[in-house]
Formats: sequence, structure tokens, C-alpha cells
Amino acid sequence: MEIFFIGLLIIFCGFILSIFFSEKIKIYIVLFFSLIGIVLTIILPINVILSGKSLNFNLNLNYPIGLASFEIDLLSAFFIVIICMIGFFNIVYNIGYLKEMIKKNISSQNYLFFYGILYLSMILIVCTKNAIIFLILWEIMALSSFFIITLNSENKKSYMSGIVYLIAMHISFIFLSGAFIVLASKSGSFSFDSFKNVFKNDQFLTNILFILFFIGFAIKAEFAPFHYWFPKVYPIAHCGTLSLISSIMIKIGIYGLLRIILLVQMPSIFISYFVLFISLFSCGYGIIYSLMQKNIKNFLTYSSVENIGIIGTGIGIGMLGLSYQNTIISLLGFAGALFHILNHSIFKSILFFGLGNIILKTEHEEIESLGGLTKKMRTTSILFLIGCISVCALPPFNGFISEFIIYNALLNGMKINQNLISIASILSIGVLSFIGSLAIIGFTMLYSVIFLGNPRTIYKEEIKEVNILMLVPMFANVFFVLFIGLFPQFVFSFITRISLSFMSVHSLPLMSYANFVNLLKNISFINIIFLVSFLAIFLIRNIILLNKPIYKYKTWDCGYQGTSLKLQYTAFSFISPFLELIKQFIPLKIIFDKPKGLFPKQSNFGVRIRDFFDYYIVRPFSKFMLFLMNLFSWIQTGNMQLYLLYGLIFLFVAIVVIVGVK
Amino acid sequence: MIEKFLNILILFFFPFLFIGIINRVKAFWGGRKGQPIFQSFFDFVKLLKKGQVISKNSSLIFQITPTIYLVTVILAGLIVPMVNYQNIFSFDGDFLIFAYILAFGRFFMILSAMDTSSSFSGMGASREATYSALIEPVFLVILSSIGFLSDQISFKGILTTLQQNNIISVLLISLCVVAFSIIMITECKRVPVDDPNTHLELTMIHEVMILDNSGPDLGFILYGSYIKLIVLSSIIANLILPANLAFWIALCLFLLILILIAVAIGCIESIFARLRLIRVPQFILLITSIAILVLSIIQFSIFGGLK
Repeated sequence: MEIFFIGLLIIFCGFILSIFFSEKIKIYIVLFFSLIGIVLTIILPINVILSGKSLNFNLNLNYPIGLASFEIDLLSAFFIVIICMIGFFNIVYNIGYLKEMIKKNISSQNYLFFYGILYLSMILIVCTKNAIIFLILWEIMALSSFFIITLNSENKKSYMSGIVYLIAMHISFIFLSGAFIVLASKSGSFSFDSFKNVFKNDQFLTNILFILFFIGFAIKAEFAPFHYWFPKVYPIAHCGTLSLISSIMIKIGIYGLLRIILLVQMPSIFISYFVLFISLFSCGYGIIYSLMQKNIKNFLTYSSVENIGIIGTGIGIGMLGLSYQNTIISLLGFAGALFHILNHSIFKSILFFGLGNIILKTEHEEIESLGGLTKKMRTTSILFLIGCISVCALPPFNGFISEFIIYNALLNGMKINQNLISIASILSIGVLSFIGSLAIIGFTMLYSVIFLGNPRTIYKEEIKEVNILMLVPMFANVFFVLFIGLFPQFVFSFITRISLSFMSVHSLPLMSYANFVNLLKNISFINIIFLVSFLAIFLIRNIILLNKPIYKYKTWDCGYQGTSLKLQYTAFSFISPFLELIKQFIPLKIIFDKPKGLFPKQSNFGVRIRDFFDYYIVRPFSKFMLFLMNLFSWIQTGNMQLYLLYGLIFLFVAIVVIVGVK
Repeated sequence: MIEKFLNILILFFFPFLFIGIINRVKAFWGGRKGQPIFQSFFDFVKLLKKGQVISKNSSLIFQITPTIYLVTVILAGLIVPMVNYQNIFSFDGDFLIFAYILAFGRFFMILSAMDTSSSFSGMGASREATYSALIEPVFLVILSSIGFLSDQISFKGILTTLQQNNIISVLLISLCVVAFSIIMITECKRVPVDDPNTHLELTMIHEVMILDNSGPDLGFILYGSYIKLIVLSSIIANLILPANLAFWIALCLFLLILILIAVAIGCIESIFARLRLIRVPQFILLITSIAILVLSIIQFSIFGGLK
């Protein structure tokens, strides 16, 4: 265990040292230290996954905290490996990004320092076993991510968006701390292991606490009704930050959820359906809103909501398996969810890296003003395409594998002869495939509008490919995409070990497990055939075309000679056939001033999309709260001593009431 | 073994005959003599011999797409059960990869259409994306609910165990035949969803996406869409075909049903006009209700209603 903490210390040193050196040197210092540190950190978790034995580290602290125990069990090890691996690519990308910033003479200030704090707090969160330390680290994570998000915000608006983020994170904190306090008062200790008994004894309390935990973690993980904060927050951060947040930090919310399920052991049927329902809702909501976004960063973050929903569906079906005591369903459900966590962090970082490259070079974030980049940024465009295919869950890449496992969990779920779960799983299959095909609409739109065709605006400067440090992490991620897509059975065997830790039985019906591995081998076989036959036929095609004339000519325009770049299909026109079908269900406002008269002067067309939960629920609620609080504004004097007096009076009344009740 | 070999033969060569029959039937309704029955094959060979015209705006995607489309359709053909319910790759949940592989081809077709930066192709692409999004969930819901009835989750198992000779399976089969016919018509873009012979770019769907393809690439795409017809009609054929037949009878019946489907497509294309584009989603949404009907029939047959 010592080597793990030494690794963390080395990473920390690198980020601390970055404060004291000049811009040019510090990026290399951080790169060097984090490389060594991460190699040291990752050894033990990998060993845990391979051997299946968990590691302990205990520290006896004073009263409120008690025994501060850190434990790397299978679940923690899985998350540490993801954070270390994908997180390292994120660090490399950010260093490349800062290098470009240095060229533009923009100071990075203490960006790397806060980045490092965020990074370390995430690693420590997943291995702590003490509620107070968990909450402290959770707070550190929220604050440090707030700093890296708002670092370059120069105007009041983006500063206010940062505040929105901070408030959202603290709402999450309130839910979590409330639930933890109840647990601690029942069990008498802050250690996670002691919570198990509370969960075991009181079914009703467990359900309520689980929902509290779920809301707390869901705000972090961006499950749909709790996601209202990010459409405002994400556009102010740059893509390197967003990549870390979207591909790793929101998974910490999922980690929390999984940890609570591990402690609950036997979730009731009600909360299992609750998780499944929220997740499916989240899938649909995320993908439909992502289609309508104009800002490409928001497009990808809404797609994260969808993917978190898919992960949640896997968790939900896994929990149903636990409730109905069916091992194979819960195995496949949790394995699918864990697999999708891994896959999502891989392809989401490719997509955000690609987006970062685009925004860095073009300085445009509006989807409608991009276009034709594939001729200028060839490498980025190919890597981004692989990311797009993967996020649409299409074979032969990795996104398909995890969705396939979740589908199989659902297909097995309907084999339980109980009609609620069979209807639920068949409808979930329908919803998952529907959002899959909507993802195809969305990502073909995104890719084709950004990269294909011709530019829709004139770019400021000549666009070139970005530096090698920004491309290397993309290549590394693409390697994983291909490897998992073509040989899923290897990764799956490790993931089932982690998934098994959710079940009280530690061995499976061996037959069904072997069957499933065979199934994945079939998938891998088909994927390989797919790639090989594609290459073969493409080769044949090129041989056929070898001595044939190939002309380059303009696109067929039906004889209409006045074509201009403005006549290209735009993102909104691409999705409008679909929006036409669902327009009753979405708050979409089209502003259209038609040209009038014989000599029309001004005409105007615009689309305004508002997030339903933000606009119709959160805002009215906060307005109401503001109104309510204003009634008491006469109490506020601005005098600090008076405020202290208020606090003391409150405490006194509280003590009197509590003692009086007893 | 022989079934698998025959499957491959049918998959690669029957499509030309299939298209020939459709064209002959249309010629019959039009009072014409019609083109030779293997005209589509001759066209394919001719296209392979030609050079290409490529749009200046396009990129690499435009050039790899026809190959990808062809490969995906062929792979889907290897997964779908054909003669005597046999398929080359068979495993649990194989219909999922079937649907997703077809989606992969569609993904690239849409990109390639947008690659030419022509607004016509964009129209076709957006329509294709929308209509397919309505089909895919229905396809999976129907197949998995039948899978629930039969406790089988492979394509082959689902189709064979549907033949149970009782009222529920007859009911399901007839509903499924309607649903899969609509799926086939929409996926292959035949009348009444889209008219492959139309020459007005504004109303086309599939044809407008490939306006700029030429030479071998066009040949690949056309061949791919012919194979797709066979792939999707063999699902319908296997829905109708009784199980446990002798091999030769099964083969002959299978081919006969395919030919009948071709005749039916030809007849529909001759006597129906294509729908207005606004009406197309309504036509496709019909199968959503069929899927819900299938699901509820199965639920009732197993549990006798909600308990």
C-alpha cells in the first residue's frame, strides 16, 4: 500500500512544483512527475484486479473521524485504473493545450495546480472507507473543479455560471451529508462497513437513504432531472478541463452509487425500478436535447447525460437481478454498466480532445459556423470519427460491446417469469435502441457539419493540425477503442470479477458464464471479419479503379449555377425532420420574421431551445425562494456581530427543544 | 453445411433475379415487354468497368462509404437465417448485432451524403436518419418480445419457435409479417415510402443520397441495396415458412416465397403512388403500434393480464 501513496505523493509534488516555475518549464515538470507517479500508483490496483485480494491501509485519527481506513477493493481498483489511465491521457492533452496557450501568450496561472488537486482527490475518494473523509474529499473535488472551470472567465456572466456550478455541487453535498449523518447516528461510526448493518435491518430507512444518496450522486453524475447546472457551466470551461470532468469526474458520482449498492447488498424492488426508470429517462432526455444544441460543447455534455443513462440502465437491471436473486442478470447488468463506464471515459475523451483541437484552431463554438475541417485537420478528423462511431455504439468499436452486454442482461431479464420485469426489460430494449438511433442522427449531424463539406464561415487564420502532444492521447484512446472492440473477451473476464463482488455468491453457474464468453468471442470474430473484409473489398475496389480515369468535378447541383456555401445543409435543417415529429414534447421556439412586401428589407430566422428542467422547474423555484427570502430581508443588517448572535440564539433554541423533547 | 453454402449463393446471386422479377412485374402492369431479367447484373458489371467522377468538396469518407455499405449488408446477410432457418453465425442476441451492423452502414451513408455539401443529399440524409430511427426500436422490441415467448434469444430460435401451430402464434406471425414488410419497405426505400425510379431530387430519400456516386462505387451501393432486399425478405419468408420441413421442400418454398415477395413489391410499385413526405412518418409509426400489440398479446398469453 505504501507504494500507492508514494505514487500519489510524486504526482502531487509535480503539480505543487508547477506553481514555482515559469510557463515553459512547468509543463514538462508536471509531465515527468505524473508519468512516474501514475506508474507507481497503478501497480497495486492492477494487482488487486488480477489477484482479487483487496488491500487495506488504516490510520487512527482523533474523535470525529475515527478510524480513517483506505481500502483498494475490486471496485476501487477498477476506478483507480480508469482515473490513472484515462486521466494520464488527459494530463498529456492539457499540457499540449497549455503549450499552444504559451504560443498565444495566455497565462495558465495556477491551472495545473488545481488540476492536480482534482486529480488526486478523485483517486482518494474511490479508495476511502470513511464517510467524513469521503465528504471532505468530495468538497475538495467540487472546489478544485470550480477553480479549473472558472480559471479563464473574464466577464461577470461566466463568473456567475461558475457560481451555479458551486451551488449545484453543494446541493449534492447536502444530500450526501444528510444521508451519511443519519447512517452514522444509527450505526455509531463513520466507517462504511458499519453501515451495512443499518441497511440490513431497516428496509424502509434503506429506501429513503438510497434515494437521498441517489439524488446526491446523480447531481454529480448528471442524471437527467438533476443535470440542470451544466448547460450554463460547461461553455465557459475549455475542452481539456471538460474532458477530465466529463470522462472521469462524473463517473465518481456513479462510483458513489455503486459503493452504496455494495453496502446495501439487497436493494428492494422499488429502488431498483426507480434507478432503471430514472436512467431510461436520462437516456432519452439527454439525446433529444443534445440534438438541439448549438454549442458543440453542450452537444457532447448532453450526450454524456445519455451515456450516464445507459450506465444507469445497466446498474438498474443489475439491481433488479439482486432483488429477484438472479445471478446471471445482475452479473451482466453490473458488468455492462462497468464496461460502459470504461468505454465512455475512453471515447468521451477522444471526442472532447477533438473538440478542443477544433475550438483552439477555429475559435468557433457554434456548430453552424464550422465546416470543411477534414481537409485541414486530417488526423483529428479521422480520430474524431472513430470516437463518433464508438459513442453511437456501432460495431466493431468498443461502445457496441458494453451496450451488447446490457442488452443481453435485459434479454435475460425477461426470462424471469414475472411480468413486471419482462415488460420493463422489453421496453428498456426499445428505449435503448431508440436512443441508439437518435445518437446516430446526432453524431452524423455533428461530424458532418463540423468536418465535411465546406466551411460555413471564413476562418480567422489558416487552420493547421495541432501539436503532437495533443494528438498522442487521442491515438492512445483510439487504440483502446479498437482493442476492446475487437477483443472484448479479455477485458470482460476482468470486469466480471468486479461485477461478481456485488453478489453474495462468489461463484457463478459456470455454464452461463462460459456461454457468455463464447458469445463475446463470436462478436469479436464478426468484428474482425468485418474489418478484414472491408479492407479486402476496398483493396479490390482500388485495384479495379487503378487504370480508370477519375475526374474531380463540382457536386451535382441540378443545373442551378448560383450555389454558394450558404446553401449547404445546416445542423438544424438536418435534424428538423425529426424535431417535426416530436415538436409537441419539447420547448422549442422558432422565431421567424418572414420577408414582406415587394421590396423585403429585414427578415429573421432563429431557434431558441430551453432546457425544460432548468427553465420550467429550477428557475420558478428559485424565484419563489427569492421572494420568500425577501420577506425576511429586514433581519439582514450587514452587522457581523448581530449574525453571530442570531446563530447563538438558534443553537440555544435548538438545544432547548431537543432536551425538552427528551 | 449445404444450407450454409446455399445461403451464400442465394445471398450473392439471387438479388439480381429478385430485382429482375420486380422490374418484369412492373413492366407487365405498364404493358411493356420489360428489360432482360438479369439487367441489374449487367448494369453492375458495367458500372465496375467505369471510371469515376468525384466531387471536389468530398473527402475520404465519400470514397470508403460504398465499400462499407456493401460489407455491412453482406455481414447482415450472414447473420440472418435463410434456407431452412440456418444462418452462418448464430448466437444469443445475434439480432442485436444484425440491427447495429445495418446501422453502421447507414451511419456512413449519411456521412457520405453530407460530404458532398449538396443540399439535396442533406435532405435525403436527414430523412433517412429520421425514418430509420423510428424503425430500429420496433425491430428489436418485436424480436425480443417473441424471444420472451419462446425463451430463445437468437434469431434462429426466435423464428423457429414461433411456428407452434396455435392461435397465438398465427396471430403473432400475421402481425409480424405486416411489421417486417413495412420495415423492409422503409429500409430498402421502396414505394410507398420512396420511389427508386423518381427523378425529382426534392422528394427522394435513398437515391438522392447517392447522386454523386459513380462507377464501381455506385455499383457497390446498388448491389448492397439489392442484397438488403433479400436479407430483409428472408426474415419475412422464415416467418411464414413452417418448421421441420424436409430440406429440399424448405429450400423450394423459401425461394418461392422470396419470388412471391418480389412479385408483391412489383405490384405495389405499379398500383400505388408514393406517399407525401409528411405522411411517411405516420406510415412508419404504424409498426410501433404493431409492436405494442405484439408485446401485449405475448404478455396476455403468458400471464393472462397484469397481476
